[in-house]
Amino acid sequence: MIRYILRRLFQTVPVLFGVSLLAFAIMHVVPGDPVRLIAGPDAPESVVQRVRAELGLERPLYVQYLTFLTRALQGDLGRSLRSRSPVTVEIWSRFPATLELTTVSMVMAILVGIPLGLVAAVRRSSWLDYLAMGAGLASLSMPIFWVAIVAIWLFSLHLGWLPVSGRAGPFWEWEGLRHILLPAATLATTSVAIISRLTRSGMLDVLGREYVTTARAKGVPPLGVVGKHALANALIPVVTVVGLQYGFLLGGAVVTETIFAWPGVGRLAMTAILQRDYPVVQGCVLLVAVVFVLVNLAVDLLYGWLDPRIRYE
Amino acid sequence: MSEMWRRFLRHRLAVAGLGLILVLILFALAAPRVAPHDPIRQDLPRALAGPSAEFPLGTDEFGRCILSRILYGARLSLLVGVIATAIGAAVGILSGLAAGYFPRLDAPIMRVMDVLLAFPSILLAIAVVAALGPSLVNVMIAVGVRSIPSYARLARSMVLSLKELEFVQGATALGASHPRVLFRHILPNSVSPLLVFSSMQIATAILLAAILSFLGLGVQPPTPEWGKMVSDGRAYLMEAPHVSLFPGLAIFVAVMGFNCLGDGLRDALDPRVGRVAVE
Repeated sequence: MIRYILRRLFQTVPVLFGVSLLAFAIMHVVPGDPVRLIAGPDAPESVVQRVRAELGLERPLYVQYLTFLTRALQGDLGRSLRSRSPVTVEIWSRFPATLELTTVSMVMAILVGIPLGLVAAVRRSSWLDYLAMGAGLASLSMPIFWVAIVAIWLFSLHLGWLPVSGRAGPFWEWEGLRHILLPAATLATTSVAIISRLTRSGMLDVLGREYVTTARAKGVPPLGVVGKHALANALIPVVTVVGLQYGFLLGGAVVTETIFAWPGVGRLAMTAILQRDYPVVQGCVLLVAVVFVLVNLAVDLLYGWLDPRIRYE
Repeated sequence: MSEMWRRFLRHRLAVAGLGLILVLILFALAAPRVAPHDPIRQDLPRALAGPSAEFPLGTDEFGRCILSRILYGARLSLLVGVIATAIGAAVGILSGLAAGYFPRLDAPIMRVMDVLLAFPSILLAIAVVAALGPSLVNVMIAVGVRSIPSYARLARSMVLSLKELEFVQGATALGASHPRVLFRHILPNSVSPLLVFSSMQIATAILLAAILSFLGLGVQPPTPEWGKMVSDGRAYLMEAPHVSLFPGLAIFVAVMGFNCLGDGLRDALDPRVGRVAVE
């Protein structure tokens, strides 16, 4: 297992290097002069020079990248061009909100997705199965921003049950919970579909195995067969996907946070993109990608632990 | 071929998906003839009107016919979906073929793909458009780039499994050149999974392009685009929810069509894979 962990850790290094290179490249592939874009078309030459010097754009490209990398490793991602505060401060002040949103969303997806897939598998080819899988396919085809808008229209504007947008404290407080329900549920729709489909296929695969038949033959009650013998094995691939989905939720958060005015990293990134605040864009892209890579690494390690065959491949 | 077609026709959902797509293509092509109104002409006194005989799906905040805009918007969404997928497929398949066939190229190409996969797809697309600037072509590139690593992985795995087979070994032994082996022997035998994957990819591409437009990073007004239409309608959600509702439904129908088609193609082209994946 240790060799497996080391090997996976080693494989992550070049990927992280590539991620940093791509994040760095964002500012340098902007068509035209980024300094002019940032300073504005009518800015006096002195301002343009100041911005250029501030960004270090007059130095050779590789020097700029090395500086960027060295500083990033020390936790310095530069300053926001708009608010003038350090990018890391901007990001870290919003990260808890994003973490909260994605975590609540993931818990919702698991609580709905696994039972849904389980029922669909146990009652295969029944109306319940068709309904669950049809709903899954439908939610995979719905644009997340549209789901959000329909949800706002129905639950906030029409029925008046939940607030339209914003965050009002942590989710364990009543108002906080009311505010997080809609964005988290919206964000969870795709994950519910993926988790339920995978749970169903995993269960169908396992239910046909000999050890399940043996358990049944031994007289284990149906609930015991499903709960103890089948589910545990069927859930191994689900664990992987839950991990991967967690990473995807971080990406999806850009859209959800923008629509629900959720004060997280996704909304920060979107605002920064529209304002051409490139250091903040770089920081957000870097953070999300690094978290994504680390989550994938954790999932791989967990998978190797759950299924020993993986380690020896 | 006929057996495959029979299997496809037995998959009711897939046939429904194909039907949806054909209808959509037909409407997109015939938009100038079937659209009841000019999609760009404004008629402010009739702004935000509900569905009526004259405007079957109502009007938007500028009094423009929503049905006409959806019909014209179908052209754009289908075009972006197909071209973006083609960009991703072309680059991804070539890289995957090279990585799988030439062991020396394998590690460098696949590490680059790993880096691209390290970004959540929405974020990667947003970052690319943010860097290149909002425009239709840049949306296609951004959405296409996102699918490159998935195509590369698929093509690579096909090469790895096919290149050990006798007919490929035979061709190599008879002196066939590398391009000939790759493009005459390996690629034609990988068409089925690539086709299934592409159908699903077009669905994702349409979704992603709509997201970019929704966020204001896609096609610029007044061109009718479904995602942008949903976004513009947000401000009038209280008094005129149809402005956002109908364009969103159009996206849903188009994406659902390609997803169903993908499911059906998978069953028809590869019953072995199909059964596992559908169950």
